[in-house]
Amino acid sequence: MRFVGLQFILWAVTGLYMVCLDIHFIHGEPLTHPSSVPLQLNDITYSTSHLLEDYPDATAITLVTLLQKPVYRFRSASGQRTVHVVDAITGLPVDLLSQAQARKIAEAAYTGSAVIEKVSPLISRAADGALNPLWVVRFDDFASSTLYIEQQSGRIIRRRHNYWYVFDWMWRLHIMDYDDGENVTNGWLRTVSLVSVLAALSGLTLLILRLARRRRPAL
Amino acid sequence: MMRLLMANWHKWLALLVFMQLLIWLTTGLYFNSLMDSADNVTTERLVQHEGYLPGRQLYPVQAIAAPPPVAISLVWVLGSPYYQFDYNQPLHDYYLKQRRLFNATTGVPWQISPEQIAKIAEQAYSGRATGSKPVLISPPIDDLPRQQNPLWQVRFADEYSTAIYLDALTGHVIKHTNDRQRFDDLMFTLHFMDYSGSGFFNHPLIIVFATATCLLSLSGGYLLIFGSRQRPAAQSATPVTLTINFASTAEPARLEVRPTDTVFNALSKHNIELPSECGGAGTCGKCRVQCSADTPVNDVEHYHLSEQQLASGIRLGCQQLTGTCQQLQLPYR
Ligand code: FES
Repeated sequence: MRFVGLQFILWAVTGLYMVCLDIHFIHGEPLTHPSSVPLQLNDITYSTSHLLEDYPDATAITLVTLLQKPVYRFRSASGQRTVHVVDAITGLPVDLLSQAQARKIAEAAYTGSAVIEKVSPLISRAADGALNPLWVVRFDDFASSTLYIEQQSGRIIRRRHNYWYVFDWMWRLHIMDYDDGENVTNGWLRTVSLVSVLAALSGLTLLILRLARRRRPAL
Repeated sequence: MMRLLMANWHKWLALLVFMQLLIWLTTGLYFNSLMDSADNVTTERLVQHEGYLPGRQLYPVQAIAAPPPVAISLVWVLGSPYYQFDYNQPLHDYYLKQRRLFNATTGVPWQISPEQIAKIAEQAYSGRATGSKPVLISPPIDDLPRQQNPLWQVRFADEYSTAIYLDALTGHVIKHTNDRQRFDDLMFTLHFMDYSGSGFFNHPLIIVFATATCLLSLSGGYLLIFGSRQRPAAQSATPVTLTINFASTAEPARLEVRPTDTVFNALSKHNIELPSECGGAGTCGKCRVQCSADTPVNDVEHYHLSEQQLASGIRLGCQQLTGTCQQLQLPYR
């Protein structure tokens, strides 16, 4: 019972943290502003028709601005997760992002006023095993805000800060999954919540019994 | 008296949050053990929009009569290509989107028709019911509380009241839902106390309840750890006789009791229940008995009883040991 009591306190405390901090803030959404630069359509000399001639299985094609230049982003229909980037002026594939370019993208998107503390490479592995090279740009602000930029596409795919890490731990403690916080259906949680429901119901029963008991006038 | 203060708080907080606590626990258990969202919507089918492009001439984007957008994507609807001009790039799909669609072969503005929506919905549904006429509905949408964009809705009169929501411009399926899914959604609404239908859990009501629950569980933890009263060590194990006189006509009672028992517990063992809300924990102050005036007084009794009552010998049954208070008076048996 004392153990369940401890988890009760954990549920209450972690729940309070999670409801108090705005979920969009936790996800780091205010860290960047979305790009609002209109495309330089007149610069485009390599048309969508050209692109489809050269890459007949291109799918999910998007024309965007990357480092002041219009580029096509697409995937190949053969089921690859990899994002291809082709220059919409020259028609040539765009190289992986350099460290300096990642820096520029991060600075342009960042809404804060802190300077960049560090830019480091990271190769992340997706659930299907595909490797995705990233640049990790950390800002020198109070929350250690960090942007993860895909080297292939130049997209900012993750926004993190210290509050997120705390939130992540709160979540793990809340669902009692201590390794990666992904399993809401774990047996621990099941046992403890079952016991808790029984405890709460027995508490209710005791209360009702006490209220229904013969009352003796107090002295 | 920290403990008494806590106990008082604890009682009122418990009263406030008890129902919600039970809801949190049961819905939590539901998410953990019974919910299987993957199994909810079995009538969902993937719609193949994409057609064959190579060899087809597409209209050049710069020739389209529209202000330059932030991004252009090539989208497919029922086998035909269209340009989608995005004028904003919201972080979530449910945020308000500013877009325009153009036929990618002719470059003219394009608007999807209800017939096309009906056709897509039919392809997206594998059940046997037929779809209702598509309606374009604007938010707030009950089934999709976060959605800020208008959506097409097609309903199917099957056993689970399936509904399909499709993008207002492209007709792509946004959400396939039914009563089983709606039940899961209801559980989330209850867990998040989201009775205003915001689709989120950062609202004042739940913050108030979460704060109260936090105080409740922390005060509970405190009481659990510091709640046990220190009992003086047993002086002798020989039973003593407790004499009780009743103000009513009942015969005085003489009970054989252990001197280390509290009066409260000793009486309860002989089926004489003192009034109490706390069950002898010393926090309710209800278990008053009349002892002799010189019976020692402790802190808890000072807290609950007035000087006058103490002077006249009124004590708390759960704070007195039968060893030190062997004569007492009660209103009736
Ligand atoms: S104070 Fe509640 S029973 Fe004694």
